Amino acid sequence: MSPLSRKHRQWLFIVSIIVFASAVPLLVFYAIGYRIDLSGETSNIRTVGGIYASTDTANVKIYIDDEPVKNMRIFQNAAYIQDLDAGLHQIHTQGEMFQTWVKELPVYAQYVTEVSSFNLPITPQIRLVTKFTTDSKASVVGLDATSSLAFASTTNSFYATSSTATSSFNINPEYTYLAELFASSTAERQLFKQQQNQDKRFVFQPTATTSEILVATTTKVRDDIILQEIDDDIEAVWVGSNKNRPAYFCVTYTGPKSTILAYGTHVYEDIVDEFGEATDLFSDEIIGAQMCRDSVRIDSQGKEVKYFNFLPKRSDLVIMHLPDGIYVTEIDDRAWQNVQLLYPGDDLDILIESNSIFVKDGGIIMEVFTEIRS
Amino acid sequence: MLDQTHLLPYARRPDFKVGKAPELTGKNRRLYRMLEILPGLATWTTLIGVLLLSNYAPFIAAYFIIGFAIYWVLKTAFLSYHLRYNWKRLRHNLKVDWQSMNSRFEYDHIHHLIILPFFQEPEEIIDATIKSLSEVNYDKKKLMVVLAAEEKAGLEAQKIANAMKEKWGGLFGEFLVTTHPSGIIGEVAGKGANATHAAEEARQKILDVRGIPYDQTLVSIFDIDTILYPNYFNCLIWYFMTADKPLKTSFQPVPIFNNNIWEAPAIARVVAMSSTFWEMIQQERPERMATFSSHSVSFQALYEVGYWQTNMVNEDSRIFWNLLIANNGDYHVVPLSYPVSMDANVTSTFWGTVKNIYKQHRRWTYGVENFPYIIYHFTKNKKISLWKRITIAFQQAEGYWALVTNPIMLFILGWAPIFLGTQEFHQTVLSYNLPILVRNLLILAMFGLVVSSIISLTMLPPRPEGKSRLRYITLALQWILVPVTMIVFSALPGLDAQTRLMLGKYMGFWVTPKSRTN
Repeated sequence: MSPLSRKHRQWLFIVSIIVFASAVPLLVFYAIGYRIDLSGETSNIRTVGGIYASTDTANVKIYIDDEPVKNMRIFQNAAYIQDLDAGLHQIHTQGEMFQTWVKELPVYAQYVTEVSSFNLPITPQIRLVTKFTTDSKASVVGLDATSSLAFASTTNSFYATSSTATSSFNINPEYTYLAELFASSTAERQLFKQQQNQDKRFVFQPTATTSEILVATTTKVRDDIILQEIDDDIEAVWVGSNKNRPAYFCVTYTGPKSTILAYGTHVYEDIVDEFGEATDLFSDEIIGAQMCRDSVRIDSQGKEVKYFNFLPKRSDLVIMHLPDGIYVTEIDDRAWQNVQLLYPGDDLDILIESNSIFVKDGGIIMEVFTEIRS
Repeated sequence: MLDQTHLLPYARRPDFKVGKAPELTGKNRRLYRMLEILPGLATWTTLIGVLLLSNYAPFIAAYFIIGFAIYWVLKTAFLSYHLRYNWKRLRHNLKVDWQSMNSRFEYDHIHHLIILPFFQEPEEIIDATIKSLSEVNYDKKKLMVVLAAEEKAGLEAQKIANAMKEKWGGLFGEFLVTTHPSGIIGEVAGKGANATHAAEEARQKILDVRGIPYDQTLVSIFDIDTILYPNYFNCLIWYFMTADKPLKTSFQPVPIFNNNIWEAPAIARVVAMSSTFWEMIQQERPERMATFSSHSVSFQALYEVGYWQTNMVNEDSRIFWNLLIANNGDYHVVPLSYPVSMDANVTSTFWGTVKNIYKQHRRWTYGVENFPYIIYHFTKNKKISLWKRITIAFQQAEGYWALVTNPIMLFILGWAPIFLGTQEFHQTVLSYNLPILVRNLLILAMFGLVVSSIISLTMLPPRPEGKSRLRYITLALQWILVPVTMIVFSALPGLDAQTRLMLGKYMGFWVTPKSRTN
């Protein structure tokens, strides 16, 4: 049996070169977003963009323009939706028993619009933390409390009693600890509020520097984002490097009208505030450019914000205590900010401890979850 | 003054057997040193370049990576085709009745000098090798065995050598035990020095005494763990007799590292079979071949260049370059496509095996020391055609560069633009499509592994008693380890070896420990 002839090998080599020379431009063009459209009478080349949507909620589906995304790619809880024509696209995530998150964002040819959704349970998910527990670790609650918590779903077993005798129950150390924390934090907050009112002129002067802002005890910092209260508004300020700046701080500027159409008037106004004086916003040179803001205002629905913080383990979501309940809102204000109710009530107190959210509703302390616990 | 009259004219040059730059002086030393630096420099430049490109020009890096992944798919397909073809040829050659094929030749005058250098390998390894020699289908009286011991290995090695002579001596035409003295200045302690000493002693004590012409003597140098298949010498004779220029030719069998494959862990099996497959692929493109490990060559050719080099590590491949350069380019390797079995690198512990495989492959990839040698002599020996010099130089440069850079770029740096690229890049479709595209291309390339898996199963020795049939499943699935083995046992030792050469930290010979439980 003869070895492979040189001629045979040369033929193989030439075929390989032809395949290589053909495949490289084809795949590069594909990778950068060119598609051959064969659907019409005449085939033509179109350019496409994409959306990268992520959600950390299990059992929700991602929809683009009301069509469910079938192939959740890359990671299980994220989808990279390819081959989208340039233009406005509606993204929404929804699932049974969850609030719906929806946003309308522009997609540009050869670019990917990044977005991160959140879906809180429709029925608040709570775990009661009572003063007493039974031997089997069930929380002991008064009968009157059970009726007031009917709107919520408790994840732990509880024992309802009308008796005031507690000798047969065990004292719950978690309750004792949390009750102390609630007591001290409430006192601290009242004290700070008084101080804030006294020092308001100093802390929130327009010329206030970052270091001045940082000393305010209401300021929260996570992943190079500062949450701060300015003139009764909450603002998220980016203080990290440009390279790591989250996508929602930036927009693709396409001129005044189309930018308003794509991202909303409030975003356009932010751009005018930040760049208007130094830049000709009608200049061809900046059309199509990425314009990044340093701060985004958080929508508190015109209500007084009693407390705010980052949602545990997330730096893109803000938890706010408003007069009628605990809400979660996203910092991403492109188009609009989604706001979802976490726990309703007008006599609440909130505490975040070790990445857990605790709410005191009247006299009842509970842990509130952002996901549905089976 | 040593007698050099038997050497080819070019082989008489004082720098003919240069091992490293410090052995030269003046301009030659600077040239050689620069050539030593070149492979490592090219490799490091590529790797750092890809990182820098990913950081500062991620779009260009992404295009390059897509092109590179396509190249890899095609290369895999191209090499798999060669592998499959050689596998068919190997199986065919194992079935051929070489004795009847040789009946048309007169070859009684051909003698075989078999050199078996060893160091501290256990007796059972040496015994098994000589036993396999005793079982070949060939006139044993034409076989002259030289068991080449090392003085440095002490009395135990002498005892083993003498015991072997006692046991097998009467069976062969000659059985000579030689002992390579230790501590010779200028030598790198290793196989090359031992083999050269053995060959010269065999010349004086056997060939000259018996009047056997050098051009009628075929030298087969085998690693001490080499088990011969029965028709090795018949196959060798056929190729020798049919070669265009048999005295200007080396003959290369396929080393199959499977003697102890059933005892080896999966990672050692994959590495061993990958080495075998690479040699099989090379057998189908002999113009890129150099000799490797066990091989055969005429004594005349060896004598004309003064045998193997004694001052460097990889003498098995260097002897081919010595012969090619001394013969002004008129020297070739003929692939036998006939197997010899050798040991996979195995120790008693998993991590011991990993360590030894790494060291063995670092020694093999230190074959990059041939690059400065080849290019240096290509600048000196203008009698070698320019085209041949350019072709070989390019093949060698590409080979050493690809060995290290390809696996790292493919499995690690391919993702660099995604992690290092600019914000502008991260927002593009290209940034999102790059990992998907590269992943899909790598999956496509993995089909080459299916070919490897099937072929490897057909090359296994019989399943020993006590080994479950289920083992075949792991033997088939083990090939998913290839991305790991390519990085850990090919790219990293290669990078290590090239960096050492680049920095002038020259390596010595590391003897692979051999042991067999069965």
